Formats: sequence, C-alpha cells, structure tokens
Amino acid sequence: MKKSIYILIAAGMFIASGARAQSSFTTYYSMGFGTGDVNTYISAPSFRGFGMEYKNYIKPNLSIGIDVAWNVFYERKDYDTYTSGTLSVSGVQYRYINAVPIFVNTNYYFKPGGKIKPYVGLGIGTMSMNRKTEMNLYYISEDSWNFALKPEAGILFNANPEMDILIAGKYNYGFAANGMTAQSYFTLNLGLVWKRHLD
Amino acid sequence: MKQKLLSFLTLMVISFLWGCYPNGPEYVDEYDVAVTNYDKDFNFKSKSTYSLPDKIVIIDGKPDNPPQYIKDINAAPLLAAIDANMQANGWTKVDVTKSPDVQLLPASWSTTTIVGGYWGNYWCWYYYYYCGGGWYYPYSYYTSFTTGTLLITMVDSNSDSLDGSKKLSWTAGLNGLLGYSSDVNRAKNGINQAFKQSPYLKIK
Repeated sequence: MKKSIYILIAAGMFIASGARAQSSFTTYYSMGFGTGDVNTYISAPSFRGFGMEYKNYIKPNLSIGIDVAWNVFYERKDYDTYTSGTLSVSGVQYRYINAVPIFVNTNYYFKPGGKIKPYVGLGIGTMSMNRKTEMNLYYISEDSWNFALKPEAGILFNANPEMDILIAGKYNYGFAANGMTAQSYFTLNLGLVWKRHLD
Repeated sequence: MKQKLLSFLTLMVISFLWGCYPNGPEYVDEYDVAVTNYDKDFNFKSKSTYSLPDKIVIIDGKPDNPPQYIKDINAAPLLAAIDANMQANGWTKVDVTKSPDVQLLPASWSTTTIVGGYWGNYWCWYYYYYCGGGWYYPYSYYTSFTTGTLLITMVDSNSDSLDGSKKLSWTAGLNGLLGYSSDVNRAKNGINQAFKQSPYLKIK
C-alpha cells in the first residue's frame, strides 16, 4: 500500500509539474462529519482536522494537484454494556478514528478570472483509516487502507493577487477494505490559498 | 516572506491540532469495567442453593506463603453485595457442607498479568474445604488482568470431570485502578453491574 501512495504522489507531482500558468498551495482547517459506518461508530462531528493541497493550473479553468488531510474523530461513550455471545462487558468506551485521505485531484473552475471562483472537483486516491476503541486499560485497533474517491465543491474568494480564501465541502468515500466496511465522511474546509505565478 | 508566513501558519495549525488531540479517561472510575461470561449449556433455573466463603482471598503469586485475605472491613460489604444480588435473583444461601448446587468463589489480585490455569492449584490451598474431591479450578476465560481485579466464579458442585475439576458456570471479573478511597464502593457497583448484565442468574 505504501508503494501505491508513493506512486500516487509521484503521479500527482508529475502531472502538476506539467502546468505552466500558475500553481497554488493551500492549507485548510477541516471539520468532519461522519456518514454511514463512521457515523455509526462515532456520531460526534470532528473539529480536529487540517489539510494541505498543491495545485497546478493546466488551463485557467482546470487544475490538477494533490490533496492530503488528517481528520480525527473522537467520542466518549457513556458507561454501557456491550454483549457478544455469552460475554458481556460494561464500562466507558473511548473511540477514535484517525483518517488520512490522500488524493490526486482535478478541479474545474466556473469563473477563472473572477473575484469569486466556484469550482467542482474530483479526487481519486486512498484513505488510511485507523479505528481505536479504548476500554479500561485495553484497546482494540483496526487499520485499513481504502481505495477512495472524493467529490468536492467549493468557492475561492480572491483576497489579493497572491492569495485566495477557500471554502469547500468534500466527501471522502473509502471503499471496503481489510475487513473494514466502506468508510465515509463529509468535511467542511476553510483555508488560505497562496498563489504562485510561473509565467 | 510569504513562504515564511506560510510555513509558520502551517506549523501553527499542526501544533494546535496535535495539542488538542483527544485524551482518554480523566477520572479513575472511568477505567472500571465489569466482565461476565457463562456456560450457555448450564441450566441455572434447575439450581437453587449456593455457598459463599466469608473471606476473599488475595492471589499474590506466592503459593508457598500462607494465604492472605482482603481485610474483613473491605471484604464484608463486597460479600454482602454478592449475597444480596444472589438472593434477589431467587437463590438460597447454604453452608458449603450442605451440598449447595453451586459454589461462589471470590478472589482478588492486583498484579498485572495472570494466566488462566496458572493459579488453579491455589484453590485447594486457599479454600481447602472445597477440595475434598481433589478438584482443580477449571480453565478460565481470562488470560490476563491488570491493576486491581475482583473475580467471582460460580462452579457447579455436582459436575465432576475425569480430572476431578468442577465445571465453571458463570464468572465475573471486575477490574479497575486501585489505591483510592472509593475502591470498595466501586467494587460494589461492579458487583451490582455484573449481576445486572447476567439476567440468566435470575431463577425465580
């Protein structure tokens, strides 16, 4: 799986390096909202997350880049009883999910020259999911690398010639892998975009 | 300048997020767990009497030493809680010499790891009066515990296997951090929880 990530990153860098007009680097704060199995496991939203994205514009209205993020979901489950077969365990549970999505992205911008640039995009890549359940002094940890897709939509607000402000919604969907069912969550992201003009 | 600002902000964000990574339990009782298991083929409803020692033995991993017991002032409320729950479930307490249907055997330890079977031979030493048939404590579901543990096991008095051991019908393990003034109350709560999550023990 590590090999796949390296290939993915290298491919993204290669594609990105082919651009001429402009590149940008984005750092963003990311809030996560679990859906599906993630929501069943941890229903609380995540306010611990951040991401970085590097983009190259191959056309004024089209960019290709790499997007890497980290979202931490956490929930304390009140004292409860969990039964499996004849075994019952009661206690307080602490649940964690560390999600690291890594995508090669392509975005399409509707008004490339405007002050406000809405866009839609699609990412393809992988998502590392670590799920940890703590109870007493013990924990169960599950890991998976999921093939993942990420549709997204957002708006870039032009703050000045060198900087945009980003608001974006992204839906990370990792397909079932390593015994873990499909993992998905929505993120709302606020970021700063540093633009670099190459020509 | 712009690059420095970018690097600075990125580091700030990472540091902030790392610093607010969620922690686990903050209070000692949040570590407490109650674990129960039972033999699904055991017919609890066909039984009615039980016995319970008046002491709780401490398993210290030193079988050559004389047996140690939990101080009576601490053991008494725990044994009373076991009695109260058993009787609320319809069981009648009898002396061990009166051939009870099941025997409850409480034990405690505070070591980090106990391997099931390792401590089996202790029972004939600590509870010598149970060993008329020369039985050994049967295989346990548990392989290890840490911190303070109170283990309550229920064995079928009438089940003799080829090696003389008795059959385990129910077991409850209460585990938590020791050394706090609330230990006894937390253990009592654990006992109540163990019975609460074992509805099959209700025979009437």
